[in-house]
This record gives sequence, structure tokens and C-alpha cells, in this order.
Amino acid sequence: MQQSLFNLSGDDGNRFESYYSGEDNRLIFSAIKLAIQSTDHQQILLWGEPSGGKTHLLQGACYAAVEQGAKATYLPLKKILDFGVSILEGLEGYSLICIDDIELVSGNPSWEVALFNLINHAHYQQQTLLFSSGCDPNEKNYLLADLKSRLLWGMVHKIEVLNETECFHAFKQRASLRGMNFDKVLIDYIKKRYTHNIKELINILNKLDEASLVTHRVITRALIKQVLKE
Amino acid sequence: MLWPDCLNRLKLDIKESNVASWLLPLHAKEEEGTLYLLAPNEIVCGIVNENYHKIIQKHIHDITGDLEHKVTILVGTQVEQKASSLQKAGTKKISETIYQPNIDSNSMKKRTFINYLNKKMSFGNYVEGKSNQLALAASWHVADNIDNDYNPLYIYGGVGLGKTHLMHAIGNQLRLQDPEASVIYLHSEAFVNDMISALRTNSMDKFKEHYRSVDALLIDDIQFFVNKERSQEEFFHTFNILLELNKHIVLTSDTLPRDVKGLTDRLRSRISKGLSVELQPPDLETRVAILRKKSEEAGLHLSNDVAFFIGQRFNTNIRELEGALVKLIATVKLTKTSNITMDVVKHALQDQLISLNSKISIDLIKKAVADFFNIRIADLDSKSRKRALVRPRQLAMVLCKELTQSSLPEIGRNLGNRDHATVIHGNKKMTKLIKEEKNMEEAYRIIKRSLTN
Repeated sequence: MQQSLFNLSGDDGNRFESYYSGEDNRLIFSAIKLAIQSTDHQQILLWGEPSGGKTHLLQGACYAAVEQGAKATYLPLKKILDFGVSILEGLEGYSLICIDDIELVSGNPSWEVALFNLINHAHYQQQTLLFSSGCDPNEKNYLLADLKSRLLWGMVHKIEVLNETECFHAFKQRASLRGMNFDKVLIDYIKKRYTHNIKELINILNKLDEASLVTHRVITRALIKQVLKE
Repeated sequence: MLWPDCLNRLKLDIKESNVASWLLPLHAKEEEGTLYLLAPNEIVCGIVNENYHKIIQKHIHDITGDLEHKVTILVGTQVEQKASSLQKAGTKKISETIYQPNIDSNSMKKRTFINYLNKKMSFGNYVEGKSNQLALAASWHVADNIDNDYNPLYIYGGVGLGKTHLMHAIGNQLRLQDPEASVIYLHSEAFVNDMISALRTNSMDKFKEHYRSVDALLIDDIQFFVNKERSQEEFFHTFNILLELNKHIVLTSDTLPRDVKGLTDRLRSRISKGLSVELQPPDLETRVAILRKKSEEAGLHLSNDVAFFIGQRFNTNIRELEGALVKLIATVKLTKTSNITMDVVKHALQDQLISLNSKISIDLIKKAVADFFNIRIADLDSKSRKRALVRPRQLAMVLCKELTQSSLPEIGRNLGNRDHATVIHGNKKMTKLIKEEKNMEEAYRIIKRSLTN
């Protein structure tokens, strides 16, 4: 039952279309979109606090590149570190390589060398690299000084977390992608009572989307109250 | 369109981060009623086989309506070879990038080498300055191919100073003069990996023949040979043969040959017989010249003020300098800004500038404060409670708190081993004074500007 409901709910996932940049991240969002269209080597490193949308941008870039017919891969180091560096093998033909949480390789000699080699290869193979880091790469210490300097080679940009107004704009945008309409009254209702963190707001949206589909009801204050009480 | 359709369905069943990590990288090839999905490596192949094969198979059956339609997941990134023939041969790999020197035994000149040269790195866009004059001249000498006095040419220096650029420039110039010249650029790790691959595939003879028949061998970062004795041994023999044949060898490293730890003595001795040239960090004028050159290539004009502003701040290595410029260029282009003012630069590079500020140390602050008040650094650390010393000390506390990441106890320890309560008190007192007294406000402002600018 859950599975079929999930299938019915809107698929607006981590795509460029569903990314709300806010004012501070507008330029870097454009730069990423241009980078994945470029045939030259590009390197962009995004860093910043959690909930800024770094993972969204990396995955969105992968999906967009694949839709354009390119080969792309998304490598979240949190999940793949334990597999060892051979997971980076065979990426020669990929035009876009996205690596999430690169700071996790710090202090790990084999991963540092592997990433260093990957950047070198990407340079002469004209591949585009998109990295994310949970901390300022200038501040992070790596065993290989050469790796750090190579990470700073391309465009380094701090992703800013959305402010409260932008969070609700993002929420409304994600809702409208699913065909859901939240008027001012409903937004104010959520604003007053619930979290203003974008990740939590998207969770709220997911719950409401599912509840609305199950109960065949439009979104009202009563439904919000009922669903979020649960 | 079978795989894209299947992928669209899978996105509804599988968490999208997993789709991005494991399914998007797959390359599809359809042949004779079988969908071959090619994974970049064994790990991805194993994970997809184990976790997603069944569901992919189900969707393929649904889409095609053909229960006989097979799905096979293999390692491979190229599809030149017929999948079916490989399957018949019983191998699990559809294709793999293995060491293939592509040797034509009749003519060395006809050999096809993957040279890995980056055409963008040429002498034309290498900016000369005092710090790189000798290395540049020696590189030109090698590239001009007049004689082979400097063999091997060994270029050393810190990170991000242009060693790799010079190497590519030499290789590109040699190829410009003789397009058929077999020039190979590679990182020392790649040499090691190639050798391991050759050992694994029992093709060491080909490996040796390949590297020993080049016109120029350019190996970057030889410090990575450290403690890889078999690789050093192999490289040593290659090195000797190339020297005997009067072929060019160019090497880079982070330090002089004698200081590269873990290098065998005989390899170190051979390398030392050539010319070793150092690349030093570029001076301000060179950094500004680099900025001008790169910005002109991008069709942008930087005023003197702007170029010097960036050059003064990004002073440790060229990669950081180029990274800052890349960001400025992108910002200017995306915002369609026509005039690159100081405000535009400060806004575009604000993250990097903040990071640079965070590199300000307590010692640097103490020196700036002592210089301003014309006192000794030791006076800041002293126990003296004279007003003429207490105020500068408290001002140093305020600046340390604002401009460094140091904790209060750390600041206290570095200012005469004081405790954190003293730092809190000093901070509070001086913050108030800065608001109330013009002289202190001026001192605070001037010292802070000297540290952050």
C-alpha cells in the first residue's frame, strides 16, 4: 500500500527544477548549469552548513547531465568510503563526476591520493568535477598539500542556507511542482506552528502530499493539523 | 529508449540518492534481446547485481512485454567490442581499459601514444617572473630540442607554482615542432598503476617497450615513487635507456632530488646528474601579470586596483589565485557586469576573503598591535598593569577574538598565559572603550584594516 502511494505522489526529487536557490545561491546555481553543458574541464566546489542544498545540486547536476545524454555519476563519500578507492575506477568516460562530502577523505592516505589522481585525470580528460564539502576547504587539513591546492583550483563557493522567507518560497515551489497549492492562510498556519528548516518543511510536504492522496482531500488547516499531529 | 524508460520507473521505486549513485552511472547497450548495463567498476557492478537486478528485470519485462528479455550487468565503459562475442568467450567484462600501447613495430614514428598533454598549458600562457625565470628558460631549452644538455630536467617547488604547467608546455612545444613525436606526460602514480596493470595482465614486455620507445617522457610528482621500489627499479631502467638514446626526460617534485625521501640512491644519483631548477612562489608583480593574462584570455579587463587587490591577497600559490579569478569571471559573466569595481570583486570573492582572514594568527595580531603602539611584543605578554600596556593588550584580545578561530583560553595562553576570565573582561572593557573613545576606535580600525587588507 505504502509503495503504491509513493508511486502516485509527485516526483520532484533532487532536480534542478525543484531547487530553489534563493538570492545568495542564484549565481552559483547558474554557474553549475553552465558547467554541465561545457565540454571543457570545469571544477566547482560547494561548501557550507547542512540543509543548504549541496546534495540537491550535485544530484540535480547528475540527472541533468544524464538527460542531456552525458555520462555522470554521483558519489556520496559517506556511503562509499568503506568500499575503497577502487570505486573510482572506470570513470574515464564520464563527463561529470559529483563527489559529496569530500572533506571525509582528509587523513585517509589512499583516498587522498585517489582524489588527487582523479582531479589530475579530469583536467586532461576535460571532465567536469562537482564537489561538496561540509566545511571551508581552506580550513581543512589534508595529508597531501597538493590535493588541497587542487581542490581550490576551480570555483569555490559557499552555499548559504535559505532564510525564513526563502524557505517558504522553496516550500511553495516544491508544492506547486506536485500540483499542490498552498495559499497565504495555509503558509501562515504552518509558519506559526511548525519548523522553518527547509529539510523539515519538505518532510511536512511529503506527509501532506501522501495524506491528501490517501484521504482524497484537498489541503486545509484541518488536514495539516491532523497529519502533523500524528 | 529502453533504459531511460526503465530508469524513469526505477526512480519511483528506489531512493533517488541510490539511483544517482548506482543506476545513473550505468551505460546501456541493447543487443539480441538482452539489455547490457555497463558499470564503471566491479563495486558498482556488484551492488547493482545484488540489489537492483531483480527490479530492473521486472521493469524491462513490463516495458517490453517480453518475459524472455534479459538484463545483464557487467563491468565496462566502452562498447566497441561485441558484447555477445565476449559473453561467448566466457568473460564477465564486456570491455575494460587495459594497457594498450598500440605499437607498430615497423616504425616508431607511426606509433600512437596517448600523451595526456593538456593543450591549454603552453608556453604562450605561462607568465614569466623572477620566481620562475630559470625554470622557464631551461624548459624552453628542452622544448626547442636544440641539444640535450639538461637531461633530465628536474623542476621542483611547492604546490600550485606551475610545475605541471611547464611540463605540459614542454610536451606541447615538442609536439608542435614534430607532430609525430611520441611524448608522454603522466603522473608518477599513473606510471605505477600502469606497471601494476601490466604485471597483472602479464604484459610487462609491452609496458617496457612502450615507455622505452618514447621521444620524451614527462613524469610529474616523482615524490610519489617513494617506497615503491619495484616501480623505481622499472623507472630507473627506462630512465637509463632513454638517456642513452638521447631522449628527453623531464621530472617534477616538491623538493630537491637529495631531499626526496624514499628514493633509491642510484635513481637519486641519476636524476641529480641533470639540471635541477626551482620554482619559487611568484612575487606580487608576477601574480598581477598572471591575473591580467588569464582575465584577458576570458575577455575581461582588470584595472590596476583590482588586479593588485586580488594579487596581494592570494599570495601563496597560483591555483588559489586562479581559483579566485575563475570565480570572479563567472560572477561577472553571469551578472552581466560591465565594470569590475572593487565592490564587485569584494562581493564575488567574499567567501575566500573571509577564509583568508581566518588565516590571521594571534602572533600576527600581536605584532600589528605592538607596531602600532610602538611597544615590544613581550610587553603584551608581560604582567605589567600600566595603562600604556593594558590597553594595547586588551585591544589585541578583541582582535584575536574577532579575526581568529582561537578559543578564549587559547587567546589568554598566547597573551602572557592569562586565563579566559581575563580575556572576557579585557574584551568587554575594550569593546566599550572603542565605542566611547575616538583614539581607541581609530587604533582598532587601523590595525584591523592592516591585518585584513
